Parts: sequence; C-alpha cells; structure tokens
Amino acid sequence: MTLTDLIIMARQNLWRTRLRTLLTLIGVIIGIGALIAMVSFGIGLEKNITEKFKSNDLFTSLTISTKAFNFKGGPGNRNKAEKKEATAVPLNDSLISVLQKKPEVAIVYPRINLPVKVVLTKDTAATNSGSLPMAMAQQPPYNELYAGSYFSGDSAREALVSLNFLRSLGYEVRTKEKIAANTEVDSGLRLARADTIIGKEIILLSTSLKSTSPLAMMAGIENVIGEEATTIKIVGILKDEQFSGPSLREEVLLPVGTAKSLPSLGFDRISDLLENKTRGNQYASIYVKTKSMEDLGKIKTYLDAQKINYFAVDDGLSEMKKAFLILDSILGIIGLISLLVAGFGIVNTMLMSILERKREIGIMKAVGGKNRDIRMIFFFEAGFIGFVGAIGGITLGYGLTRIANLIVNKQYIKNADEYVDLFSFPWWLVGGSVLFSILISLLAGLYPAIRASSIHPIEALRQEG
Amino acid sequence: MIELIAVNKTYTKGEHKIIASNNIHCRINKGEFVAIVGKSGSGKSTLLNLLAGLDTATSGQILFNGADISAFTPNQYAQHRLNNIGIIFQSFNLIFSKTALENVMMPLIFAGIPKAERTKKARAVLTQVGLEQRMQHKANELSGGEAQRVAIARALVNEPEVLLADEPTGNLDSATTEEILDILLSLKAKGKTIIMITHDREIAEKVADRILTIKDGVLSE
Ligand SMILES: Nc1ncnc2c1ncn2[C@@H]1O[C@H](COP(=O)(O)OP(=O)(O)OP(=O)(O)O)[C@@H](O)[C@H]1O
Ligand SMILES: [Mg+2]
Repeated sequence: MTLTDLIIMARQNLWRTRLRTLLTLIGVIIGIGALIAMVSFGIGLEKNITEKFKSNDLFTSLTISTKAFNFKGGPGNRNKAEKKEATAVPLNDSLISVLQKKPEVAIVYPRINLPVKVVLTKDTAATNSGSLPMAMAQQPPYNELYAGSYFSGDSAREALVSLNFLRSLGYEVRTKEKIAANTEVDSGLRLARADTIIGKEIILLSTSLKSTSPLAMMAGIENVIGEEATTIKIVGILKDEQFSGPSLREEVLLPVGTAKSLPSLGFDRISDLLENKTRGNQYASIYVKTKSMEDLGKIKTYLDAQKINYFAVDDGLSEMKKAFLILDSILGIIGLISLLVAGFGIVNTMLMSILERKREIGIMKAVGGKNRDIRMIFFFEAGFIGFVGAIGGITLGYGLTRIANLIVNKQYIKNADEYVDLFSFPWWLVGGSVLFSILISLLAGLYPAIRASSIHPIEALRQEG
Repeated sequence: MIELIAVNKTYTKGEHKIIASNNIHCRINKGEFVAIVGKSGSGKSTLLNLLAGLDTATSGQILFNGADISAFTPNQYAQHRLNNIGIIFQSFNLIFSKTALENVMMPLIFAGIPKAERTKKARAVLTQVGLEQRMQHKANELSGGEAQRVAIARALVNEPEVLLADEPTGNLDSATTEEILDILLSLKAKGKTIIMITHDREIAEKVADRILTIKDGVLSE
C-alpha cells in the first residue's frame, strides 16, 4: 500500500462515521488547545519578563555593594546560605576610576540612594532619590522619557521624577494627547498636563549629619541629625515601568554631581554609616554597565577575584528560569492530562470501529491484505485524527489566547502605552504540539490496530454485514 | 497444480471435536473446472478455506504448484491469495460503502499497484463481466447478480491462476445463476482453474469437468 492510499483510505473511513469522528476530534482539539494555551502562557510570561530585562540592558549591568547579595537561597534557607564576607575594597572614587579604565566597562557611577521628602507646592511625599550620570541619557529607560528631557549636566539642579511618584504627590499626569483621549482619573488625584509639571520646582528635604562627635550625640539627636532643603527643577518625567532598570524604586533621579552634593547621612542606618566610614567607603553601591554580555562575565570574574560583592540580574535570572521551567511544566501537565483523556477517546473510537468493520477486515484479508496492511489502515486513521485534532487544537488554543489577550489588555492594562501579548507561540510549540498530538494518537491507535490485524479472516467474514 | 495429501481439519470446541476435513486426498489440474458437492455442514467451505489459506489444516500437505502451503505464515497466505487465488463468496462480501470500481481495485491496492494502472485494470475486468455501466455505483445499490459479477471481477483483477467459488449462485435466482455460470465457463475457457462449491448437483453437472463429493468431511470422486 502506498502512503497516499493509506491517507485517502483513512479519510474515507473517518468520513463514513463522521459524527463519531467529530466527537473524538473534539476531545483532541480541546486537549491540544488546552496544552498549547497553557504552555504559550508560560512561555509568554517568561518572554515578557526576560525581554523587559533585556530592553533595560540589565544583562550588561551589575551593582557593586558593600554587603553580599545572596540569591541562591530561597526564603526558607536564607539563613543556611553560605555567608559571604563584606567587600574587601572600599567603594570610593578610586575604585570607580579603576573600573572606568577597564575596556569592558561602558558606564560606571556611584548609586547614591537617599531617603528624601519632596515638596511640590503644598504637597509632600517621601521617597528615595537616586543618581544618574549624563552617560545614562542614551540608556533605556531614560532614553525614552514620558515627557520632558534628561539633565543638562552632571551637577545641574534638575530631577527626573516618575509618574507613580507624581501620583503620590496627588497628580495624575498625562500628555496633552492622552488627556484629550481619556479624562478618567482615579479618585483623589488631580489631572495635570505633563508640560505644566515640567519646569516646576520641588524642594528636596534630606537628612544630614551635623556632627559625629560623641559629645553632640549625647546632647540629643537633634544636634546630630538635621533636615536640609534643596531646590530642584523637574526636567523630565519617567514612564511607568514594571521593571525599571538600575533605579528600582527610586522615584526621584538626580544627576550624580547633584546627588553627591546633597546634604545627607550617606547611609540608611547610623550603624552602617559608622561601619562603612571606618572601612573607607564613600558609596553604598556602584553601578557598572559593560559593553556586552561577555564583558559582564569578565567583569564578574574580576570582581570575584578582588572579593568585591556585586549583584547582577542574570544571577537572579537563572533562578528565575528554573522557576519558569517549573511553571511551564505544571501548565504543560494540565494540558497533557486533557490530551491523555482524548487519547482514550481515540482508543475507544477505534475499538468500536473495529467491531463494526470486522467483516470489512475479513474481506480485505481474503483479497490479499496482509496483517501489516490492516494495521497500517487503522494506524493511519488514528494518526489522521491526531493531525486534524492538532490543527483544530492549535486554532482553538490560538483563538482563545487572542480573546484572553484582548480582554486582559482592555480590562487591566489601561495605562500601559503598548499592547501586551501575554502568550507566545514559538514555532517549536506549534510544530511540537502537532507531532505530539500525532504521537499520542498513534499510541492510542497501536492496540486497536494490532487487534484489528489479528482478527482471524474466517471469523471476520462470518460477521453479518 | 493443486494436490492435497492426507489433509485433516478438526475444530475443537471444549470437549467436542468436529472433523470438518477427514483425510482428504485429491489432485486438481491446471485449467480444470471442479465442482465440490455436498450437503450443508459436510465440510465444503472448510476445504475451500484451506485451499485459500484463510484457515490452516490440522495435518497433511497442500501443494500448490509443488510448494507446500500448509505451513505458511499468515503473511505468506496473504501473498499467496494476492498472487494465485481469487475468491468468490455466496454472500458476495463486497464493501457496501465503496463503489463497484473501488471494490475491484482493492486487491490491487494491497499489491501496491499505482492508482492509474489500478483503475485501468479494474475497469477492464468490470467490462469483462458486463458491468461497464455500473462502475461508479455503490455496492449496496447493486442487484444480487451485479454484486456477484463485481465479486468475480475482484477475484480476477489480480490475474490469479485459480478461482475458488463458495456457492457463488446460492443467493441468486435461476436466470442470474445462468449468467454467473456462463461467466465462470468463459473464464475456464480462458484457462483459469476453477473450484466451485455447490450443494446443487444439477448445477455441478452442467458446468464442471469433474465432480467431487464430500460427506462428513470425506471427499470422494
Ligand atoms: N470455526 C468453526 N468452529 C467450529 N466448528 C466449525 C467451524 N467452522 C466450521 N465448523 C464445522 O465444520 C463443519 C463443516 O463446516 P463447513 O462450513 O465446511 O460446511 P459447509 O459444507 O460449507 O456447509 P454449508 O453448505 O452450510 O455452507 C460443520 O459441522 C461446522 O459446524
Ligand atoms: Mg459453506
């Protein structure tokens, strides 16, 4: 028998009992549909998150810190995780200039992170300020601001603020075009045009150390710590970002020079301050951006050798990848189970059709059909169901995910500028599910096919037809 | 061309033992038209099934052109039927959902013959049995005589040396019986070896060169 004969025959035989075939097919379609929807969601999630990281160039950056980061231990075994020692080299300008000279390094700057109070006319909100050098102007996400522009210089009294922070100050800021399109605002917020915010002055209240003398400390905390005000102009507004680059949770960004000159404690806690100062640290952390991902690896080796602690996103990423693998597996298994159920449906259908077609099997054998021919005929029917089911399932799965996407984008991602595709259909998922569906179907058809071929011809011919 | 030597076939159903073929010796020559006559249950179909390789003998030898087929595997039997044997049944045994042409092409599919050639050959044999007008009809739309002619065409399409017919006229009226017998006679004239089973001695005498009688599994001249 030729392949074409088998395919034509399978089609004819399935068409003959089309209602039953359709019902069996629905099982496979649902199975494959569920599988592909589940897995594409897992992949989509992973892709969205890793791409966000990639677009922020986090795979080429790391943050040097005085303390050790530990990503290997989960929440449960945090204490058990190996204890790393504090960074051996002080984080100061000389370390920065050493790093600056390395050919792999593109940008390096101190991350000056200060708790500040911000006053905008009458509204006040507390946040963390961060620092950025001029070199970061071309880097995402700072190369695409929501409104306004980057700093004019490293010591300019200028700031970038986030949309979210403006919300905590009581403003829902939108561009002119966005306001025209939609004036709906969360309760309690005032709608403001972006260009009216740009150029406004804010007052930064930062905590500073007046004196470190024990005498002053004894006289009272107010003699040691004071609050100082600095006036700064808003020059740009940052977009809402779920995964914002190095300025994670820093909502007011200042030029490095300005941040350095800001009166401050320098560190979050007095104890840290004393400890760090004695070690000669000038900064709590230093941001390093390399020219490529390979360069990041080289810098990591260098830092490891120097016993300098750092945190790089790709360390966390490999952990994240593992988590995604588990998620994908769970989603895959759910889809798999439904496909398995469909497989039993195929077995059932095939066994039934063997009973009905016993006489036909006898006839085929009487006119010279070999056992193998009979086996192949039934095998192809099962495979045909698998193939058609896969095509239908992919269509169903794809269709459902499009609908889900539409709903989610409409309902939950109101403020996002771009449409988020929650699902991803890489070619291997589509191809793989077709192959997988055929494989499951063939497996389901195996026993019926063997059974059909082993029917004795005389017995088969005796069936009433 | 066909020789049976001490062929026995017994069916065992629990305690019961039914001897369907009892020490059968016989020889059928090429081009002969042999009729096997016997009452119902005498073992006619059993004998034919053994010749067709649809069933295996309990003991004895069946020689086909000198080769012993009694120890064939199911696969070898299938090939044997494909190459050497055409079978015609009392109840036609056509696949109802398929057309006359498709039914006739069936053996050629198993023989692996390409579609164009298959169609050509099937059309030729259908024309030979006088069914050129009925090729595209479904098997269940045909009359008994037409159905049996399709079955004959199917038996012929592989150009086998031997035709085995199990009561080919059993389901037909007398006029149609004549038509079918005429076809069989014309095939004999073309050199086919035909072994036909019938319980009707009159029919046997009309067409056969030689009549073998079977009674309780024992075959005699
Ligand atoms: N598969 C079987 N199992 C048990 N006994 C069988 C089987 N096939 C045939 N027999 C028995 O063998 C004997 C011969 O049967 P066979 O079918 O050869 O008779 P027959 O001459 O063709 O009869 P009929 O004219 O009614 O077709 C009968 O007694 C029958 O009951
Ligand atoms: Mg019989």
